[in-house]
Amino acid sequence: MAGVLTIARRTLPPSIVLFLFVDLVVNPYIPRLGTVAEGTRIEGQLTVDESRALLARSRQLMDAGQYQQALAPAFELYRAYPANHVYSQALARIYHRLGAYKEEAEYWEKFIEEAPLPIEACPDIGQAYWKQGRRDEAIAALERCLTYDPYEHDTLFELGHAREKTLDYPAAAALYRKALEKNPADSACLLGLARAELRMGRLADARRLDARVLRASPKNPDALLVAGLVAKVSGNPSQARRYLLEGSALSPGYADFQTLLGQIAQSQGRYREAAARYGRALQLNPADRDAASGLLALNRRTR
Amino acid sequence: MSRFLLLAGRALVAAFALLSSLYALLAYIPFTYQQVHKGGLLAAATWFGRAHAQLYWLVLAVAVATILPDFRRPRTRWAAIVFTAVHAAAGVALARNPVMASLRNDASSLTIAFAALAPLFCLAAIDALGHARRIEWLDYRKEDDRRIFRASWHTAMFLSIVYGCVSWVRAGTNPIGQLPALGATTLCHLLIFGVLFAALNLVRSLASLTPWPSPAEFVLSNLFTAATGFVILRMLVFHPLSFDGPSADAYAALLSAAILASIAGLSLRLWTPREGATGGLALALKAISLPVLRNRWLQPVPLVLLAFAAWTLAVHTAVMDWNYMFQKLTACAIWVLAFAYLYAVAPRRGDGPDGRIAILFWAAMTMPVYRVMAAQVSHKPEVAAVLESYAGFDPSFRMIRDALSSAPRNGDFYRFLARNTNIPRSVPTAPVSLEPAGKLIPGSGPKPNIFIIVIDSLRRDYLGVYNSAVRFTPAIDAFARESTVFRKAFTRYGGTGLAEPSIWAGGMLLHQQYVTPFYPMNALAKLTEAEGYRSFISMDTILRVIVQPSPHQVELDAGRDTMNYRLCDSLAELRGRLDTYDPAAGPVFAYTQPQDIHISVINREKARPVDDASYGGLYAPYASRIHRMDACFGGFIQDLKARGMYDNSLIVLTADHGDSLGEEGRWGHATSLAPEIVRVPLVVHLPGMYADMVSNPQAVAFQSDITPSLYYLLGHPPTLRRDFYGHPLFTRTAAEQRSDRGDFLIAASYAAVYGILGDRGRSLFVADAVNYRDSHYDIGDSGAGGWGGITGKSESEDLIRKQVGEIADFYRFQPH
Repeated sequence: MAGVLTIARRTLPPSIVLFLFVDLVVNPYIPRLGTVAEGTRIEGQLTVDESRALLARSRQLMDAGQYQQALAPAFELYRAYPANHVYSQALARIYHRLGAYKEEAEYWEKFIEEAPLPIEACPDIGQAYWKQGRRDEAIAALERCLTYDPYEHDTLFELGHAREKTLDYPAAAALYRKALEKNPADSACLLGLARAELRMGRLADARRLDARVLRASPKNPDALLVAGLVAKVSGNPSQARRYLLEGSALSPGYADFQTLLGQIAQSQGRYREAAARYGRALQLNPADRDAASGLLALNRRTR
Repeated sequence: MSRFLLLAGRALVAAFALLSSLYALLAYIPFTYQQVHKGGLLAAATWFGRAHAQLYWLVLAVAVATILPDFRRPRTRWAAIVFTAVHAAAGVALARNPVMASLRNDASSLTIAFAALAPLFCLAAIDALGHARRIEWLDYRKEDDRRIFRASWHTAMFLSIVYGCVSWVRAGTNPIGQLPALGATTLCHLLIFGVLFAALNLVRSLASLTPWPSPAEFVLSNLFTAATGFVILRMLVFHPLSFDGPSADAYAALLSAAILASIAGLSLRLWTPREGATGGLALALKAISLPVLRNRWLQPVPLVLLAFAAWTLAVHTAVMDWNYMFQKLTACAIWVLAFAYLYAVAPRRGDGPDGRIAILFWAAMTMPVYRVMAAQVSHKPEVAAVLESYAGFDPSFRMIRDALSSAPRNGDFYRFLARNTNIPRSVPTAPVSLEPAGKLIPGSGPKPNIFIIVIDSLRRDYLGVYNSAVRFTPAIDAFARESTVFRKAFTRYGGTGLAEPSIWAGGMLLHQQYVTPFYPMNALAKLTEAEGYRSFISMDTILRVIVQPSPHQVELDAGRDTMNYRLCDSLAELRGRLDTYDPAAGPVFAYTQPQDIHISVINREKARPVDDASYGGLYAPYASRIHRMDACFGGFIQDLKARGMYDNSLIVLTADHGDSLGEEGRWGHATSLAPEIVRVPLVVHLPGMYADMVSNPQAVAFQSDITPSLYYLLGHPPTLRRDFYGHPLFTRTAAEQRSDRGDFLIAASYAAVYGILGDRGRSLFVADAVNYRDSHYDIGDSGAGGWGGITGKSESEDLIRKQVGEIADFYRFQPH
């Protein structure tokens, strides 16, 4: 017994120290020196879990159409990671939904600065400027987009459309043609080109292009609108009226049909119908200058 | 024979035996065989292998000289004669068949590695036979525990101070900012030497229970040291070399035993009766104890010399290290020498109180303090970052920290990585026919000349095109202005061993060096062959394995060792070949991988700059060589222009991987996947015929995308779509470009270290199954990247597991 006690007295104390050390090495629940526990907050940053939760919340609110509420979590993410393009993109999209185009454009600009693929901001950034009425900046932004990818289809179309609106028809036609090189059957570009050709006086080309679209989709309202325009300019108002009435029946909310039908009615002396068409057009699009000027002319006449 | 000559002679014999054994072992491990024996990575090792048979006789003569007195002693006479005769016969056999010069990558090398240790055991046996019986042993004295404790804590403090200063000098940082690290290193050293004290106390306690306490103490303390050596060899040396399993266990045990037997034998031989009776531990440490000066005031001198040795060894081994292995081994040596000396100088007091329990209590107290500190640090990323940075410069602290980190929670994951890494030759694998675009039908259109220049270890931030602070690469910068510069280019493998084959295959490979025959997987060679290219290739040791010889090939740099490939020489030779080249023979394909700035080449050339220019804060030996290469590259481009070939040539300038040049103490590129290693330059000049091609220079790109790009450009759009396979960098439409939203797998060439590149090349998660540590890096646009503390572990580990599994499936590999 005394022997056992002697052995225990001599060997137990160092064995306990060694056991503690072995436990230190093999026990998986003891943190390893210098490693950072998951979920640890770095000052000014969010943890991975917090970031995920905020992103999920923001997306959830977006999906539910609660754009104003979706702003808060997206902002928190943006503040934590101002150089992360994902969050500037999220903010731009929310502002787009809220109709805050100034802020939308601002965050698209930030996105372009940070994102490895800035083309993803296109053509939205151009549209955001356009909707603010900043036409020159819209065109400049869309031209910048084309430096990232010269054949980006939507950008080519939007820039063509912008050029069309600023009455630069040759430039618009060139852009539509470039877009059609890669997507020859794209109806929006075919019709844009048709409109540009029409404005430049090339009626036959406009008619040919429009006919291509109508053959493929006879119920395309845009194609019917262009067909009406071509017929009107060709001096065939009754045919134009037929196309426009068909188009207007298909798209009753499309103001351009009403404006054109008003112009035809006015030219044919049916002033009451013309006034009604202009009025309807202005209801649909209060910024429709053609409808407003047509209505003004009618009012002067009646006075 | 004097003590000094005996020690020197035995040190020479031991060094020769150990080097022979390790040299043979390196031949047994597949990737070290490829790098060291085939690739000539270490010139001194290559020389040693060639001169081994001659050196053997010299060393045998020295060994016999150390045992000359034993020929006269009856007890050892026959042992000495047999030792001499057997080893002389072995010398004759070696002269006839110098096995070290022709080692093979198979089990025969492992057998030689074992056999090479035999002389050490034989000498130890002769030492024991001749000298063990004459030792006068002291009785067991419990007071000696205090002496061991005193030596232990003195050693801990000495090492903390010395390596703290080493780290401060090396890092050049403010010592105030390193205070947490200095506290941590002191605690870690106290902990380890507290444990050492407890272990030696147990050894002495067990010995005291026997009738022969001091001899038993001598034997047990040697066994304890051998066991510690086994653990160190197994974890610190063999694991990073992917040498695992029963063979590694057996070899580590034998190597450790051989070293300890040599030291123990020498200790027995060195004892003389005039020293008086000795204790077991004192005798065990005798052979490795620095001489104790009699003048008390001069006694710190050996410690100062040790401190100087610690600093010198840490600095000089760092630049040629392997996962900090050499630095840690030198730290081990300093530990042992410091403890042996401080034990020797510790006063031997008698009749003191038995304070063993109190001492053990204080030793044990370091454990909870360590636990509390580790727990506190785990919630303070800024302190963790300081410790991480400090560990890069203090190998002693790093060794303790890594040793205490060897129990990962996700052991299954690391084991999975290890099973899929450095697959040994003994595991059967077969090539898979890689045909990225199906069957190749040669195109009829014009074909560009192709020049691929892969500068081994070239970092992107040492080129002006990537770093505006760099002014010494004007020619490459001018070339870049006429080319596409991929800003987020990476290597798939941090190391030449698999990076170079991945360029030729066009994607990631099975982690084996190498699946043979490799040719069915060599997509680039297949393409150039099918399209009728005339190839000019610098056939380095890797390409000799993976590129099938062909009559359409001309070898550049023929007759040179791989490590002697120099860009200027290779391009000069290529220009000479082009002088006599007949364009009617087909378009030109050229590939060269110069070694000018490989860390081993720079070290071999004394790590000196090759010119007197100033390179600011950059590493001048490296930068000056890039400056030299830049001029040669510029000359080559001008020459192509003069020949009228430039506008019809596709020229790629890239690197197989980057390099660490002292970042946080890291050097070279062994097993780590730090940002400066995985990021590479990638500049591609397209000929005019591809003017309508689009690319996305801001997207993530890999140099393994070169081959798929060539397939696309030559009219064979790749249809092979795998995450681990390359993607064309140039396409006709933007829609065909690879989305860089994915997560991309990367790996170390030589160890189970894998990474996931995410967030469009902005973040890098690294799972290190060698050191059982995970890291997360934020990769900035300008710098090399910083260490981030947060680990998004589980998702990244799942991605790594999935993609490694896909590679194994694709190449039909079943992990054992």
